[in-house]
Amino acid sequence: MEKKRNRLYEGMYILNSSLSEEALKKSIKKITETITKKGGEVHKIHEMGKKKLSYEIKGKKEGFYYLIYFTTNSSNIAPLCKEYNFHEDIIRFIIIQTKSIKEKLEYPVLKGEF
Amino acid sequence: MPKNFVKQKRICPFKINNFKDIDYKDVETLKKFITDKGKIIPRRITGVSSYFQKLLKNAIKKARYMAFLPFVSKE
Repeated sequence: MEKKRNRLYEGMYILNSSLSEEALKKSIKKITETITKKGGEVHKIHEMGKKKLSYEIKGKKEGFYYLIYFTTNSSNIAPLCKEYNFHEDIIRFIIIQTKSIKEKLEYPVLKGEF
Repeated sequence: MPKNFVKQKRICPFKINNFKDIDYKDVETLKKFITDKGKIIPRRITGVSSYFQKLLKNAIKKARYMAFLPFVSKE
């Protein structure tokens, strides 16, 4: 059997754009608490701001983007996803394994002709 | 085929710029490899190596799911 280990993950969440600032903070607290409840650890939270969606999701055209780096046991990921599906403010989310924590979300520019 | 035709050797744009992996959050570079309708451009036109085309494909599909890029755009 494969060993269940602690791994580094990044979760990206799109939250409802019609929420007020207090409601936003509350829903992010709820998101981070669900991670820490199961023995996980939150490392960094990036606020990517309000962005236009390139297609409508659940009748919404805008959303707040948040990126959270955290470590948990790999067996906790499936119940985490289950709980996020019941979260009302989350329009869409994705959880991916990563190798390192990015301090700044900046990328090199691709030069040259192609 | 013309007589003096010499095939130029192309180098992958990601190899020239020393990319190690392609992130789905890096929308500016991903936009260069899709058409106006939102399709992925084949690598015989862009000259991307097969290794980076695989990473690019996975990144574009994740970016589409998170609504950074459109599945189809009507233009």
